Amino acid sequence: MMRYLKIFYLYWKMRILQNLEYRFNYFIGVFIDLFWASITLISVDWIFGQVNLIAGWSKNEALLLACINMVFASLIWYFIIPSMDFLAESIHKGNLDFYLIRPINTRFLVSVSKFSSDQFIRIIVLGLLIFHFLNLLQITPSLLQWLGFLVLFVIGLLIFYGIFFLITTTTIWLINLSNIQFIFQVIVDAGAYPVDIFRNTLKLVFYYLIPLGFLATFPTQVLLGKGDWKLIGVGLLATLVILGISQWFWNFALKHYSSASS
Amino acid sequence: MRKYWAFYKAGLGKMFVYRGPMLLWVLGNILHVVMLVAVWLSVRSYGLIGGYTKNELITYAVISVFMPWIISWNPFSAIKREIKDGSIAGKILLKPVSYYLERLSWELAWHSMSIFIGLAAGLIAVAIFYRFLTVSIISPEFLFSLPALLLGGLIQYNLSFAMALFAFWFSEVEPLSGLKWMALAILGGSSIPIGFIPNSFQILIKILPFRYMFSFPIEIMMGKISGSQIFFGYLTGILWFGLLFVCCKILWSKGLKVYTAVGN
Repeated sequence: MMRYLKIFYLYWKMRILQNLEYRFNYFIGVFIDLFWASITLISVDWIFGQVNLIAGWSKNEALLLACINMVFASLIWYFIIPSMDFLAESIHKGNLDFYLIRPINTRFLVSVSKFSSDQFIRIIVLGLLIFHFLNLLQITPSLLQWLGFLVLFVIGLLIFYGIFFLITTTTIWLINLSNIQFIFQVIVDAGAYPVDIFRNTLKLVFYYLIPLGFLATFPTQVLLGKGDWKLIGVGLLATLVILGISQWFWNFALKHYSSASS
Repeated sequence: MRKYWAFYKAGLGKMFVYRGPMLLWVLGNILHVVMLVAVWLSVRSYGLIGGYTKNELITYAVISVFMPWIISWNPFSAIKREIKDGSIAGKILLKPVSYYLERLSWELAWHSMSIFIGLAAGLIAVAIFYRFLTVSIISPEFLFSLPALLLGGLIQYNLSFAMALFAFWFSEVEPLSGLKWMALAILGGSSIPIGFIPNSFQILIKILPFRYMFSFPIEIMMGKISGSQIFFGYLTGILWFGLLFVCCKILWSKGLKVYTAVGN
Protein backbone atom coordinates (compact mmCIF):
# COMPACT_ATOMS: atom_id res chain seq x y z
CA MET A 1 0.00 0.00 0.00
CA MET A 2 2.77 2.43 0.98
CA ARG A 3 4.58 1.63 -2.26
CA TYR A 4 1.53 2.61 -4.28
CA LEU A 5 1.06 5.83 -2.33
CA LYS A 6 4.71 6.69 -2.85
CA ILE A 7 4.47 6.09 -6.61
CA PHE A 8 1.28 8.19 -6.77
CA TYR A 9 3.04 11.00 -4.91
CA LEU A 10 6.09 10.83 -7.21
CA TYR A 11 3.96 11.03 -10.38
CA TRP A 12 1.96 13.91 -8.89
CA LYS A 13 5.11 15.80 -7.86
CA MET A 14 6.71 15.22 -11.28
CA ARG A 15 3.66 16.63 -13.04
CA ILE A 16 3.62 19.77 -10.88
CA LEU A 17 7.32 20.35 -11.57
CA GLN A 18 6.70 19.87 -15.32
CA ASN A 19 3.89 22.41 -15.26
CA LEU A 20 5.94 24.95 -13.33
CA GLU A 21 8.75 24.79 -15.89
CA TYR A 22 6.59 26.98 -18.09
CA ARG A 23 5.00 29.24 -15.52
CA PHE A 24 3.48 31.68 -17.99
CA ASN A 25 1.68 28.85 -19.82
CA TYR A 26 0.55 27.41 -16.49
CA PHE A 27 -1.03 30.65 -15.34
CA ILE A 28 -2.64 31.24 -18.73
CA GLY A 29 -4.20 27.77 -18.38
CA VAL A 30 -5.44 28.67 -14.91
CA PHE A 31 -6.93 31.92 -16.22
CA ILE A 32 -8.71 30.11 -19.07
CA ASP A 33 -10.15 27.52 -16.64
CA LEU A 34 -11.46 30.25 -14.34
CA PHE A 35 -12.92 32.08 -17.32
CA TRP A 36 -14.79 28.91 -18.46
CA ALA A 37 -16.11 28.47 -14.92
CA SER A 38 -17.40 32.04 -14.89
CA ILE A 39 -19.08 31.53 -18.29
CA THR A 40 -20.94 28.51 -16.90
CA LEU A 41 -22.18 30.51 -13.93
CA ILE A 42 -23.10 33.47 -16.14
CA SER A 43 -25.08 31.15 -18.46
CA VAL A 44 -27.04 29.74 -15.51
CA ASP A 45 -27.66 33.28 -14.27
CA TRP A 46 -28.92 34.39 -17.70
CA ILE A 47 -31.22 31.36 -17.98
CA PHE A 48 -32.73 32.22 -14.60
CA GLY A 49 -33.20 35.75 -15.87
CA GLN A 50 -35.94 34.22 -18.03
CA VAL A 51 -37.30 31.38 -15.84
CA ASN A 52 -38.10 30.94 -12.15
CA LEU A 53 -37.45 27.26 -11.57
CA ILE A 54 -35.80 24.36 -13.36
CA ALA A 55 -37.22 21.02 -12.16
CA GLY A 56 -38.00 22.65 -8.82
CA TRP A 57 -34.51 24.13 -8.38
CA SER A 58 -34.20 27.86 -7.75
CA LYS A 59 -31.45 30.08 -9.17
CA ASN A 60 -29.07 29.93 -6.19
CA GLU A 61 -29.62 26.19 -5.81
CA ALA A 62 -28.78 25.72 -9.50
CA LEU A 63 -25.68 27.91 -9.14
CA LEU A 64 -24.60 25.86 -6.10
CA LEU A 65 -25.14 22.69 -8.15
CA ALA A 66 -23.12 24.14 -11.03
CA CYS A 67 -20.24 24.99 -8.66
CA ILE A 68 -20.20 21.52 -7.13
CA ASN A 69 -20.34 19.96 -10.59
CA MET A 70 -17.41 22.12 -11.69
CA VAL A 71 -15.38 21.04 -8.64
CA PHE A 72 -16.18 17.47 -9.58
CA ALA A 73 -15.21 18.17 -13.20
CA SER A 74 -11.96 19.81 -12.07
CA LEU A 75 -11.00 16.76 -10.02
CA ILE A 76 -11.87 14.46 -12.94
CA TRP A 77 -9.75 16.63 -15.27
CA TYR A 78 -6.99 16.77 -12.67
CA PHE A 79 -6.65 13.09 -11.81
CA ILE A 80 -8.57 10.91 -14.24
CA ILE A 81 -9.05 12.21 -17.78
CA PRO A 82 -5.36 12.92 -18.54
CA SER A 83 -4.47 9.35 -17.56
CA MET A 84 -7.34 7.90 -19.60
CA ASP A 85 -6.25 9.94 -22.60
CA PHE A 86 -2.67 8.75 -22.13
CA LEU A 87 -3.88 5.14 -21.81
CA ALA A 88 -5.85 5.42 -25.06
CA GLU A 89 -2.82 6.90 -26.79
CA SER A 90 -0.52 4.17 -25.41
CA ILE A 91 -2.85 1.46 -26.70
CA HIS A 92 -3.10 3.19 -30.09
CA LYS A 93 0.66 3.47 -30.45
CA GLY A 94 1.32 0.01 -29.05
CA ASN A 95 3.30 1.32 -26.09
CA LEU A 96 1.15 -0.22 -23.36
CA ASP A 97 3.57 -3.13 -22.99
CA PHE A 98 6.07 -0.76 -21.32
CA TYR A 99 3.53 -0.57 -18.49
CA LEU A 100 2.50 -4.22 -18.59
CA ILE A 101 6.03 -5.45 -17.85
CA ARG A 102 6.46 -3.31 -14.72
CA PRO A 103 6.30 -5.15 -11.36
CA ILE A 104 3.24 -3.26 -10.22
CA ASN A 105 -0.51 -3.37 -10.82
CA THR A 106 -0.92 -2.14 -14.42
CA ARG A 107 -4.31 -0.60 -13.87
CA PHE A 108 -2.95 1.51 -11.02
CA LEU A 109 0.06 2.55 -13.10
CA VAL A 110 -1.92 3.65 -16.16
CA SER A 111 -4.47 5.40 -13.93
CA VAL A 112 -1.88 7.65 -12.26
CA SER A 113 0.47 8.19 -15.20
CA LYS A 114 -0.71 11.73 -15.96
CA PHE A 115 -2.20 14.62 -14.05
CA SER A 116 -3.27 18.09 -15.02
CA SER A 117 -2.27 20.38 -12.19
CA ASP A 118 -3.71 23.62 -13.62
CA GLN A 119 -7.11 22.78 -12.08
CA PHE A 120 -5.85 23.39 -8.54
CA ILE A 121 -6.59 27.12 -8.30
CA ARG A 122 -9.99 26.65 -9.95
CA ILE A 123 -10.94 24.11 -7.29
CA ILE A 124 -10.08 26.59 -4.55
CA VAL A 125 -12.08 29.41 -6.15
CA LEU A 126 -15.09 27.15 -6.73
CA GLY A 127 -14.84 25.92 -3.15
CA LEU A 128 -15.15 29.50 -1.94
CA LEU A 129 -18.13 30.05 -4.25
CA ILE A 130 -19.86 27.00 -2.73
CA PHE A 131 -19.73 28.68 0.66
CA HIS A 132 -20.93 31.93 -0.92
CA PHE A 133 -24.03 30.30 -2.45
CA LEU A 134 -24.80 28.41 0.76
CA ASN A 135 -24.66 31.77 2.50
CA LEU A 136 -27.04 33.30 -0.07
CA LEU A 137 -29.43 30.37 0.54
CA GLN A 138 -29.03 30.95 4.29
CA ILE A 139 -28.07 27.32 4.80
CA THR A 140 -25.45 26.16 7.28
CA PRO A 141 -24.94 22.41 6.74
CA SER A 142 -24.18 20.36 9.84
CA LEU A 143 -21.01 18.30 10.22
CA LEU A 144 -23.01 15.17 9.36
CA GLN A 145 -24.26 16.83 6.16
CA TRP A 146 -20.72 17.79 5.17
CA LEU A 147 -19.61 14.23 5.84
CA GLY A 148 -22.48 12.84 3.76
CA PHE A 149 -21.61 15.32 1.00
CA LEU A 150 -17.95 14.22 0.98
CA VAL A 151 -18.82 10.52 0.99
CA LEU A 152 -21.24 10.91 -1.95
CA PHE A 153 -18.72 13.11 -3.74
CA VAL A 154 -15.97 10.51 -3.46
CA ILE A 155 -18.44 7.77 -4.47
CA GLY A 156 -19.21 9.82 -7.59
CA LEU A 157 -15.51 10.16 -8.42
CA LEU A 158 -14.98 6.42 -8.08
CA ILE A 159 -18.10 5.52 -10.11
CA PHE A 160 -17.09 7.76 -12.98
CA TYR A 161 -13.46 6.67 -12.81
CA GLY A 162 -14.78 3.12 -13.31
CA ILE A 163 -17.05 4.16 -16.19
CA PHE A 164 -14.31 6.15 -17.94
CA PHE A 165 -11.81 3.34 -17.47
CA LEU A 166 -14.33 0.93 -19.00
CA ILE A 167 -14.84 3.20 -22.02
CA THR A 168 -11.08 3.73 -22.46
CA THR A 169 -10.44 -0.04 -22.41
CA THR A 170 -12.49 -0.40 -25.61
CA THR A 171 -9.54 1.29 -27.37
CA ILE A 172 -7.95 -2.15 -27.49
CA TRP A 173 -10.51 -3.07 -30.18
CA LEU A 174 -11.32 0.34 -31.63
CA ILE A 175 -7.59 1.29 -31.76
CA ASN A 176 -8.09 5.02 -32.12
CA LEU A 177 -10.32 6.97 -29.76
CA SER A 178 -8.58 10.30 -30.24
CA ASN A 179 -11.71 12.16 -29.17
CA ILE A 180 -12.27 10.21 -25.97
CA GLN A 181 -12.00 13.43 -23.96
CA PHE A 182 -15.06 14.68 -25.81
CA ILE A 183 -17.36 11.93 -24.49
CA PHE A 184 -15.96 12.36 -20.97
CA GLN A 185 -16.57 16.12 -21.18
CA VAL A 186 -20.18 15.61 -22.31
CA ILE A 187 -20.89 13.18 -19.47
CA VAL A 188 -19.31 15.42 -16.83
CA ASP A 189 -21.10 18.53 -18.18
CA ALA A 190 -24.39 16.63 -17.98
CA GLY A 191 -23.92 16.52 -14.21
CA ALA A 192 -24.43 20.30 -14.07
CA TYR A 193 -28.14 19.71 -14.54
CA PRO A 194 -30.26 18.31 -11.69
CA VAL A 195 -31.32 14.72 -12.43
CA ASP A 196 -34.87 15.78 -11.54
CA ILE A 197 -35.14 17.07 -15.15
CA PHE A 198 -35.52 13.47 -16.33
CA ARG A 199 -38.75 11.53 -16.48
CA ASN A 200 -39.87 8.04 -17.52
CA THR A 201 -37.32 6.16 -19.68
CA LEU A 202 -34.67 8.86 -19.38
CA LYS A 203 -34.95 8.68 -15.62
CA LEU A 204 -34.20 4.93 -15.74
CA VAL A 205 -31.20 5.52 -18.01
CA PHE A 206 -29.68 8.40 -16.06
CA TYR A 207 -30.35 6.99 -12.61
CA TYR A 208 -29.15 3.44 -13.15
CA LEU A 209 -27.15 3.12 -16.39
CA ILE A 210 -25.18 6.39 -16.28
CA PRO A 211 -25.79 7.48 -12.66
CA LEU A 212 -25.50 11.21 -13.32
CA GLY A 213 -26.95 12.01 -9.92
CA PHE A 214 -23.67 11.08 -8.26
CA LEU A 215 -21.86 13.69 -10.34
CA ALA A 216 -23.28 16.57 -8.33
CA THR A 217 -27.06 16.35 -7.69
CA PHE A 218 -27.06 13.90 -4.77
CA PRO A 219 -24.16 15.54 -2.88
CA THR A 220 -25.79 18.96 -3.41
CA GLN A 221 -29.13 17.71 -2.12
CA VAL A 222 -27.43 16.55 1.09
CA LEU A 223 -26.01 20.07 1.64
CA LEU A 224 -29.42 21.59 0.93
CA GLY A 225 -31.02 19.30 3.50
CA LYS A 226 -33.03 17.43 0.84
CA GLY A 227 -30.75 14.41 0.51
CA ASP A 228 -31.70 10.74 0.65
CA TRP A 229 -29.19 9.01 2.93
CA LYS A 230 -30.01 5.59 1.41
CA LEU A 231 -28.11 6.79 -1.65
CA ILE A 232 -24.84 6.33 0.23
CA GLY A 233 -25.52 2.58 0.47
CA VAL A 234 -26.68 2.47 -3.16
CA GLY A 235 -23.61 4.44 -4.21
CA LEU A 236 -21.22 2.14 -2.39
CA LEU A 237 -22.82 -0.86 -4.05
CA ALA A 238 -22.70 0.84 -7.46
CA THR A 239 -19.01 1.69 -6.90
CA LEU A 240 -18.15 -1.92 -6.14
CA VAL A 241 -20.12 -3.17 -9.14
CA ILE A 242 -18.63 -0.66 -11.61
CA LEU A 243 -15.06 -1.07 -10.37
CA GLY A 244 -15.49 -4.85 -10.46
CA ILE A 245 -16.90 -4.86 -13.99
CA SER A 246 -14.22 -2.47 -15.23
CA GLN A 247 -11.48 -4.65 -13.70
CA TRP A 248 -12.93 -7.81 -15.23
CA PHE A 249 -13.23 -6.05 -18.62
CA TRP A 250 -9.64 -4.76 -18.37
CA ASN A 251 -8.31 -8.31 -17.74
CA PHE A 252 -10.44 -9.61 -20.61
CA ALA A 253 -9.28 -6.84 -22.96
CA LEU A 254 -5.58 -7.37 -22.21
CA LYS A 255 -5.85 -10.85 -23.69
CA HIS A 256 -6.70 -9.16 -27.00
CA TYR A 257 -3.99 -6.50 -26.85
CA SER A 258 -1.11 -6.60 -29.30
CA SER A 259 1.91 -4.35 -29.09
CA ALA A 260 3.62 -2.47 -31.89
CA SER A 261 6.91 -1.49 -30.35
CA SER A 262 8.59 -4.17 -28.22
CA MET B 1 -6.55 23.52 -58.71
CA ARG B 2 -5.54 19.88 -59.20
CA LYS B 3 -3.09 20.06 -56.30
CA TYR B 4 -5.87 21.20 -53.94
CA TRP B 5 -8.12 18.40 -55.21
CA ALA B 6 -5.32 15.98 -54.24
CA PHE B 7 -5.22 17.45 -50.71
CA TYR B 8 -9.01 17.12 -50.55
CA LYS B 9 -8.91 13.43 -51.55
CA ALA B 10 -6.13 12.72 -49.04
CA GLY B 11 -8.22 14.33 -46.31
CA LEU B 12 -11.23 12.18 -47.21
CA GLY B 13 -9.12 9.03 -47.07
CA LYS B 14 -7.78 9.94 -43.64
CA MET B 15 -11.30 10.33 -42.29
CA PHE B 16 -12.26 6.76 -43.09
CA VAL B 17 -9.33 5.11 -41.29
CA TYR B 18 -10.89 5.07 -37.86
CA ARG B 19 -14.60 4.73 -37.21
CA GLY B 20 -14.39 4.63 -33.39
CA PRO B 21 -14.12 8.41 -33.00
CA MET B 22 -17.14 8.87 -35.28
CA LEU B 23 -19.25 6.69 -32.98
CA LEU B 24 -18.17 8.72 -29.95
CA TRP B 25 -19.01 11.99 -31.69
CA VAL B 26 -22.55 10.74 -32.49
CA LEU B 27 -23.13 9.36 -28.96
CA GLY B 28 -21.79 12.52 -27.34
CA ASN B 29 -23.96 14.77 -29.49
CA ILE B 30 -27.09 12.72 -28.73
CA LEU B 31 -26.39 12.83 -25.01
CA HIS B 32 -25.88 16.58 -25.16
CA VAL B 33 -29.13 17.30 -26.99
CA VAL B 34 -31.09 14.95 -24.69
CA MET B 35 -29.79 16.94 -21.71
CA LEU B 36 -30.77 20.29 -23.22
CA VAL B 37 -34.24 19.11 -24.23
CA ALA B 38 -34.83 17.64 -20.77
CA VAL B 39 -33.85 20.99 -19.22
CA TRP B 40 -36.26 22.99 -21.42
CA LEU B 41 -39.08 20.52 -20.81
CA SER B 42 -38.61 20.79 -17.06
CA VAL B 43 -38.62 24.59 -17.00
CA ARG B 44 -41.62 26.15 -15.30
CA SER B 45 -42.41 29.29 -17.22
CA TYR B 46 -45.36 30.88 -18.92
CA GLY B 47 -44.97 32.62 -22.27
CA LEU B 48 -41.69 33.22 -24.05
CA ILE B 49 -38.30 32.28 -22.61
CA GLY B 50 -35.60 34.57 -24.01
CA GLY B 51 -37.87 35.27 -26.99
CA TYR B 52 -38.44 31.57 -27.67
CA THR B 53 -41.29 29.19 -26.91
CA LYS B 54 -40.38 25.85 -25.31
CA ASN B 55 -40.75 24.07 -28.65
CA GLU B 56 -38.47 26.63 -30.30
CA LEU B 57 -35.84 26.11 -27.60
CA ILE B 58 -36.00 22.36 -28.20
CA THR B 59 -35.73 22.99 -31.96
CA TYR B 60 -32.69 25.21 -31.29
CA ALA B 61 -31.10 22.42 -29.23
CA VAL B 62 -31.71 19.84 -31.98
CA ILE B 63 -30.30 22.12 -34.71
CA SER B 64 -27.29 22.81 -32.46
CA VAL B 65 -26.45 19.10 -32.65
CA PHE B 66 -25.46 19.13 -36.29
CA MET B 67 -24.52 22.80 -36.69
CA PRO B 68 -20.88 22.34 -35.55
CA TRP B 69 -20.42 19.57 -38.13
CA ILE B 70 -21.29 21.98 -40.90
CA ILE B 71 -20.00 25.26 -39.60
CA SER B 72 -16.94 24.59 -37.37
CA TRP B 73 -14.13 25.07 -39.84
CA ASN B 74 -11.16 25.02 -37.51
CA PRO B 75 -7.63 24.50 -38.86
CA PHE B 76 -6.09 26.00 -35.70
CA SER B 77 -4.46 22.87 -34.23
CA ALA B 78 -2.94 21.68 -37.50
CA ILE B 79 -1.47 25.10 -38.38
CA LYS B 80 -0.11 25.66 -34.88
CA ARG B 81 1.53 22.24 -34.87
CA GLU B 82 3.08 22.63 -38.34
CA ILE B 83 4.54 26.02 -37.49
CA LYS B 84 5.90 24.84 -34.14
CA ASP B 85 7.49 21.61 -35.39
CA GLY B 86 8.76 23.22 -38.59
CA SER B 87 7.01 20.81 -40.95
CA ILE B 88 5.39 23.77 -42.70
CA ALA B 89 8.77 24.56 -44.25
CA GLY B 90 9.09 21.35 -46.22
CA LYS B 91 5.39 20.88 -46.76
CA ILE B 92 4.39 24.34 -47.99
CA LEU B 93 7.04 27.03 -48.09
CA LEU B 94 9.19 25.33 -50.71
CA LYS B 95 6.22 24.46 -52.91
CA PRO B 96 4.01 26.54 -55.20
CA VAL B 97 1.04 26.03 -52.89
CA SER B 98 -1.11 28.51 -51.05
CA TYR B 99 -1.22 27.43 -47.40
CA TYR B 100 -4.61 29.10 -46.98
CA LEU B 101 -6.11 27.05 -49.83
CA GLU B 102 -4.26 23.87 -48.81
CA ARG B 103 -5.74 23.99 -45.32
CA LEU B 104 -9.13 24.93 -46.78
CA SER B 105 -8.99 21.77 -48.93
CA TRP B 106 -8.37 19.63 -45.83
CA GLU B 107 -11.24 21.35 -44.02
CA LEU B 108 -13.58 20.78 -46.97
CA ALA B 109 -12.58 17.10 -46.98
CA TRP B 110 -13.28 16.77 -43.28
CA HIS B 111 -16.62 18.55 -43.54
CA SER B 112 -17.66 16.57 -46.61
CA MET B 113 -17.78 13.54 -44.32
CA SER B 114 -18.41 15.09 -40.93
CA ILE B 115 -21.72 16.41 -42.21
CA PHE B 116 -22.87 12.77 -42.19
CA ILE B 117 -21.83 12.40 -38.54
CA GLY B 118 -23.89 15.49 -37.79
CA LEU B 119 -26.77 14.16 -39.84
CA ALA B 120 -26.66 10.82 -38.02
CA ALA B 121 -26.84 12.54 -34.65
CA GLY B 122 -29.34 15.08 -35.97
CA LEU B 123 -31.66 12.49 -37.48
CA ILE B 124 -31.70 10.47 -34.26
CA ALA B 125 -32.51 13.67 -32.34
CA VAL B 126 -35.24 14.54 -34.86
CA ALA B 127 -36.71 11.04 -34.58
CA ILE B 128 -36.87 11.34 -30.77
CA PHE B 129 -38.11 14.95 -30.56
CA TYR B 130 -40.02 15.41 -33.85
CA ARG B 131 -43.27 16.45 -32.15
CA PHE B 132 -41.58 19.53 -30.65
CA LEU B 133 -39.83 20.80 -33.79
CA THR B 134 -40.86 24.09 -35.39
CA VAL B 135 -38.58 24.18 -38.47
CA SER B 136 -39.27 22.66 -41.86
CA ILE B 137 -36.47 21.99 -44.36
CA ILE B 138 -38.79 22.86 -47.27
CA SER B 139 -39.46 26.36 -46.00
CA PRO B 140 -38.05 29.61 -47.53
CA GLU B 141 -36.38 30.37 -44.19
CA PHE B 142 -34.36 27.18 -44.41
CA LEU B 143 -33.22 28.05 -47.95
CA PHE B 144 -32.23 31.59 -46.90
CA SER B 145 -30.15 30.14 -44.06
CA LEU B 146 -27.97 27.94 -46.30
CA PRO B 147 -25.64 30.75 -47.51
CA ALA B 148 -25.37 31.85 -43.86
CA LEU B 149 -24.05 28.40 -42.98
CA LEU B 150 -21.33 28.71 -45.62
CA LEU B 151 -20.52 32.26 -44.50
CA GLY B 152 -20.33 31.14 -40.86
CA GLY B 153 -17.94 28.34 -41.77
CA LEU B 154 -15.70 30.71 -43.74
CA ILE B 155 -15.63 33.31 -40.93
CA GLN B 156 -14.68 30.58 -38.43
CA TYR B 157 -12.00 29.35 -40.83
CA ASN B 158 -10.48 32.80 -41.25
CA LEU B 159 -10.53 33.52 -37.51
CA SER B 160 -8.92 30.15 -36.66
CA PHE B 161 -6.33 30.57 -39.42
CA ALA B 162 -5.40 34.07 -38.27
CA MET B 163 -5.16 33.06 -34.59
CA ALA B 164 -2.97 30.06 -35.40
CA LEU B 165 -0.50 32.29 -37.29
CA PHE B 166 0.47 33.90 -33.99
CA ALA B 167 2.51 30.74 -33.52
CA PHE B 168 5.13 32.49 -35.64
CA TRP B 169 5.77 34.79 -32.69
CA PHE B 170 4.59 32.97 -29.56
CA SER B 171 5.53 29.51 -28.32
CA GLU B 172 2.07 28.91 -26.86
CA VAL B 173 -1.06 30.08 -28.69
CA GLU B 174 -3.56 27.52 -27.39
CA PRO B 175 -5.17 30.10 -25.05
CA LEU B 176 -6.33 32.02 -28.15
CA SER B 177 -8.34 29.00 -29.25
CA GLY B 178 -9.83 28.71 -25.77
CA LEU B 179 -10.88 32.36 -25.89
CA LYS B 180 -12.50 31.84 -29.29
CA TRP B 181 -14.57 28.88 -28.05
CA MET B 182 -15.61 30.85 -24.96
CA ALA B 183 -16.68 33.79 -27.09
CA LEU B 184 -18.61 31.43 -29.37
CA ALA B 185 -20.31 29.84 -26.36
CA ILE B 186 -21.38 33.10 -24.73
CA LEU B 187 -21.68 35.56 -27.64
CA GLY B 188 -22.26 33.18 -30.54
CA GLY B 189 -25.19 31.20 -29.16
CA SER B 190 -23.53 27.79 -29.12
CA SER B 191 -24.34 27.18 -25.43
CA ILE B 192 -27.56 29.17 -24.98
CA PRO B 193 -29.54 31.24 -27.53
CA ILE B 194 -28.36 34.85 -27.68
CA GLY B 195 -31.90 35.94 -26.81
CA PHE B 196 -31.01 35.09 -23.19
CA ILE B 197 -28.25 37.66 -23.13
CA PRO B 198 -29.25 40.95 -21.44
CA ASN B 199 -30.30 43.77 -23.81
CA SER B 200 -27.27 45.87 -22.92
CA PHE B 201 -25.03 43.34 -24.70
CA GLN B 202 -27.16 42.84 -27.81
CA ILE B 203 -25.50 45.59 -29.88
CA LEU B 204 -22.06 44.13 -29.14
CA ILE B 205 -23.32 40.72 -30.24
CA LYS B 206 -24.57 42.11 -33.56
CA ILE B 207 -21.25 43.84 -34.23
CA LEU B 208 -18.86 41.03 -33.30
CA PRO B 209 -18.31 38.06 -35.65
CA PHE B 210 -19.30 35.29 -33.22
CA ARG B 211 -23.04 35.49 -33.83
CA TYR B 212 -22.45 34.88 -37.55
CA MET B 213 -20.38 31.80 -36.72
CA PHE B 214 -23.32 29.96 -35.11
CA SER B 215 -26.51 31.73 -34.13
CA PHE B 216 -27.24 33.76 -37.29
CA PRO B 217 -28.08 30.78 -39.57
CA ILE B 218 -30.31 29.28 -36.84
CA GLU B 219 -32.11 32.59 -36.33
CA ILE B 220 -32.88 32.70 -40.07
CA MET B 221 -33.96 29.04 -40.11
CA MET B 222 -36.35 29.58 -37.24
CA GLY B 223 -37.78 32.80 -38.66
CA LYS B 224 -36.67 34.82 -35.61
CA ILE B 225 -35.39 37.80 -37.60
CA SER B 226 -36.92 40.01 -40.28
CA GLY B 227 -35.84 40.40 -43.92
CA SER B 228 -33.91 43.64 -43.27
CA GLN B 229 -32.18 42.08 -40.26
CA ILE B 230 -31.18 39.13 -42.44
CA PHE B 231 -29.78 41.54 -45.06
CA PHE B 232 -27.72 43.52 -42.52
CA GLY B 233 -26.63 40.28 -40.89
CA TYR B 234 -25.27 38.98 -44.20
CA LEU B 235 -23.57 42.32 -44.82
CA THR B 236 -21.88 42.27 -41.41
CA GLY B 237 -20.85 38.66 -41.88
CA ILE B 238 -19.32 39.36 -45.29
CA LEU B 239 -17.44 42.36 -43.85
CA TRP B 240 -16.01 40.18 -41.09
CA PHE B 241 -15.02 37.52 -43.63
CA GLY B 242 -13.17 40.16 -45.65
CA LEU B 243 -11.52 41.76 -42.63
CA LEU B 244 -10.32 38.42 -41.24
CA PHE B 245 -9.08 37.38 -44.69
CA VAL B 246 -6.93 40.51 -44.86
CA CYS B 247 -5.66 39.75 -41.33
CA CYS B 248 -4.66 36.26 -42.48
CA LYS B 249 -2.73 37.71 -45.42
CA ILE B 250 -0.91 40.29 -43.30
CA LEU B 251 -0.06 37.85 -40.49
CA TRP B 252 1.19 35.26 -42.99
CA SER B 253 3.52 37.68 -44.82
CA LYS B 254 4.84 39.20 -41.58
CA GLY B 255 5.17 35.79 -39.94
CA LEU B 256 7.26 34.37 -42.76
CA LYS B 257 9.77 37.21 -42.36
CA VAL B 258 10.56 36.16 -38.78
CA TYR B 259 10.12 32.39 -39.10
CA THR B 260 12.94 29.85 -38.85
CA ALA B 261 12.54 26.08 -39.09
CA VAL B 262 15.08 23.37 -38.34
CA GLY B 263 15.29 20.16 -40.36
CA ASN B 264 12.37 19.22 -42.64
